[in-house]
Amino acid sequence: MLAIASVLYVAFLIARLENSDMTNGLLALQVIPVALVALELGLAPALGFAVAAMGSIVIWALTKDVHISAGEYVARGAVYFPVAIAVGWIGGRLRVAESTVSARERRLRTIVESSTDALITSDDEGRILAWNPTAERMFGWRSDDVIGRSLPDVVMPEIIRAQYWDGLRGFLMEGEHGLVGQRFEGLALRRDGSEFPTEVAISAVRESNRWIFHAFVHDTTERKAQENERKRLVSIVESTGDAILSFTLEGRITSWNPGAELIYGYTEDEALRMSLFDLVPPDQPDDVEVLLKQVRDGGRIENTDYDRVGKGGRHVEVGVTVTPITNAAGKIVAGAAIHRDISERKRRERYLTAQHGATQLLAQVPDLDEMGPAIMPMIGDAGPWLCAAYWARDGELLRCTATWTTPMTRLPVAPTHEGAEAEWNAAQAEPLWLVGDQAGDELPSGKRAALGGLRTQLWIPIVVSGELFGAFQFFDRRHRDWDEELVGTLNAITDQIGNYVRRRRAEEEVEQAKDEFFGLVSHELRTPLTSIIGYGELLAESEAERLTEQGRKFLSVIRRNAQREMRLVGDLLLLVRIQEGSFRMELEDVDLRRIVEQAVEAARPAADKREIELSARADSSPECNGDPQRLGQVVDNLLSNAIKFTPKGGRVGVNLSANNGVAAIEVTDSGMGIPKEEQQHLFDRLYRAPGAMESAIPGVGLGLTIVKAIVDAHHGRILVESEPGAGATFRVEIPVQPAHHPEEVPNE
Amino acid sequence: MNDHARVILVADDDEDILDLVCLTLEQAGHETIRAADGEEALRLVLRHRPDACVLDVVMPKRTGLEIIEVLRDTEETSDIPILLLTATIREQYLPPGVEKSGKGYLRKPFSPRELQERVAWILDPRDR
Repeated sequence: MLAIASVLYVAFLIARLENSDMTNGLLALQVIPVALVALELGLAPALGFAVAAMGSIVIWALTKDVHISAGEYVARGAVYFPVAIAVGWIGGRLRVAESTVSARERRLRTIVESSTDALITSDDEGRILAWNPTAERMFGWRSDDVIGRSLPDVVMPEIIRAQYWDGLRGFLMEGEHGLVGQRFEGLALRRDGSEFPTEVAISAVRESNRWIFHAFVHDTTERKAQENERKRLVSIVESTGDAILSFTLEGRITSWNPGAELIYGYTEDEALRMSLFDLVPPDQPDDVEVLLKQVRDGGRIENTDYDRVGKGGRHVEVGVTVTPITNAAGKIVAGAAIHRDISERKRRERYLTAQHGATQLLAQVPDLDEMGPAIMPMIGDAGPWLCAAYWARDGELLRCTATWTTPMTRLPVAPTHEGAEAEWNAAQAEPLWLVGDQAGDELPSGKRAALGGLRTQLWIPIVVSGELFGAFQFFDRRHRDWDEELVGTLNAITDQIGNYVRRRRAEEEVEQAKDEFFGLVSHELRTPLTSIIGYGELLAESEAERLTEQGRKFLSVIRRNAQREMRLVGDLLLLVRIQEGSFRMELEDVDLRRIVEQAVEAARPAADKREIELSARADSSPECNGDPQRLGQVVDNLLSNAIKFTPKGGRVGVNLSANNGVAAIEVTDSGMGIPKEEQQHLFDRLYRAPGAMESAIPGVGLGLTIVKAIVDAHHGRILVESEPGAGATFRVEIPVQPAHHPEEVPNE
Repeated sequence: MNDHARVILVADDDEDILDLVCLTLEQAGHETIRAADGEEALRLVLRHRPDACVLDVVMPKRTGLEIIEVLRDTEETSDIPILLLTATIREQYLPPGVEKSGKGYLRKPFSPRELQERVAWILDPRDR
């Protein structure tokens, strides 16, 4: 290109030279293009251009008729061309310098404008000179708004403006300042008045006799937030009461926060040499292997309760959450766990459960002998204790009436056994908490238990009206310190038991008084009856012939009524016994047919009197083991009712049958019948059918209650079938081979 | 019956019943010794060594049960048959030495015939 341009240029030059004679002037003019080329394209092309142009002119001069000699031409050229070259060279230099400067400026501008930092230039009077687009975004001010304004007023919160001015003055005096040339953190102010954290670097440049400052401002809001978040997390891990730990897939502990130290008592240094297995109580099954397997399989464990043991054997209950930790490749490499100490909560729960359980149990009115043994497991679980014994006071002795062992553990040697006896001492009327070597002779089996490795013993007595009634003794293998709350809870329970015992005893006293009263009443009622009946009989047997007809009639009225009163007294007392559960029978082999026949014969006079047709039928004569007197009473009462409730001229029948080992006695009448709604009340004590009341049928409502009690005692049952107006049938069923009783075992 | 006439001590603090029992037993041909309280009964038993005793349970000074205890503990009287008359006592509270089959005691009120039968039975159980 250059060669073509120079050839074209020379051709143009020659054409001009052909027509002119101003060779020298033209030659001089040649300086201009060379200089221009040098200027435009640089020095080296200009030189080449100059050489090419000169060469072509020389060739032209040699081949053409010239006015000047070649020598002169060359001499002139030697003057002009260096001048042209020098002009081109200087011009080229100037041009290059100029273009270099502008490129740098462009580059700088690009950097400034595209910088993610805000770039703010200010002068030594604190005026803003430049403000890049990032600064516009960061501070909310457009460049036009701030150029020329005071830098601190625009970008700094008020409290640090004074510092800026001090710093600036210092720098201008000293020529240096600690912050200039450094990165530092500072607060900045947005247009909307909000402040934000920044990182700032300031450089000072001396420019035409004054200082110019460039500030690079980086908004660190986000980084700060992340940093704060990280700090927050760290502080959570450091300050939480929960244990936060990580571990290898083999269970080795790899991190241990202060919370873990708090819960387990091991320092971080100690823990990092331990494994999760070391936290399993020695007397409990290992559950860590299962946990680790779950972690290896990528499973999470959510707030599951575990029993753990800390430094010095301290027992801890923890709620555990475990998460597997994966590496960048997604492979599970470790586990992280949070252990929350739930001992306290669990303990409270257990105490409440025990207290609730004891209250519920006492509400069921247990026997005084059974109450302690029944409550013992509840307290045992509450402790929790390993094993326990209940000691009942028996005069000067304590007798172990029950023992208990937690189902969790097998105990190699029981500290005591049922039936063990020990003398009691006054110290035992107070709760005792014995640990380790303290355990000695003050408690029954105390020494033996201590020697057997039961390091903690708790003695909780039940004291009733100042007297030791019984006591719970609890044992644990672990060394446990006095637990005020537990003892308090147990004292509350034993107070409750004590109150119950007192109440029961008072009730028993009342019962006994009632018993005595009934005994007295019975005695007082029967004694005169004995005379009335006895003398009546003597009179009827040996003196009857001396009486008049009317006298004999009067005597029979007296005797009949005496018998009736005797039955009533008997029924009343029997009822009292049934009620208090002391109803006993005298068992023997009973021929039911005989019983029925006797009852029918006894009832016949009453039936005859009311013109009632009384019939008896017996298909068989079953035998049963029973009380003949009581069974007689059953049939008597049923017959007496039937006759009472049957109108004159009616029918009453008794039918005895036996089938499938059950004997059935049916008493049927043709009386008024019993409405369905009344049938269910028939056997209630003192119940009297409304019909009976209306018809003024005598009775106090004891008969059927007694019948039912006797039938129940014979393992039988009683049924009623009746339609109002169509009579009633009472059916008593008694097993012919009743349940086996030990007292019936024949003696050799 | 006269062939079987025996001496029987009867103790009851109720005079009417005491009369009734003695009368009934005398009708059966027995001889009776009367005692109105427990102490008198015991004294008379030890003095007369009767063939049998009919004792009320509830008596002043000594109860029938206490008398039984003393008699059973005394060699000379330990095999004297006894019939208890009771208005209140329950079978399970009867002291050792009293037949619990229901034949060694008689509930008040009783019929004179029943009393005669029971006394005959305790005098010679093989008769039954």
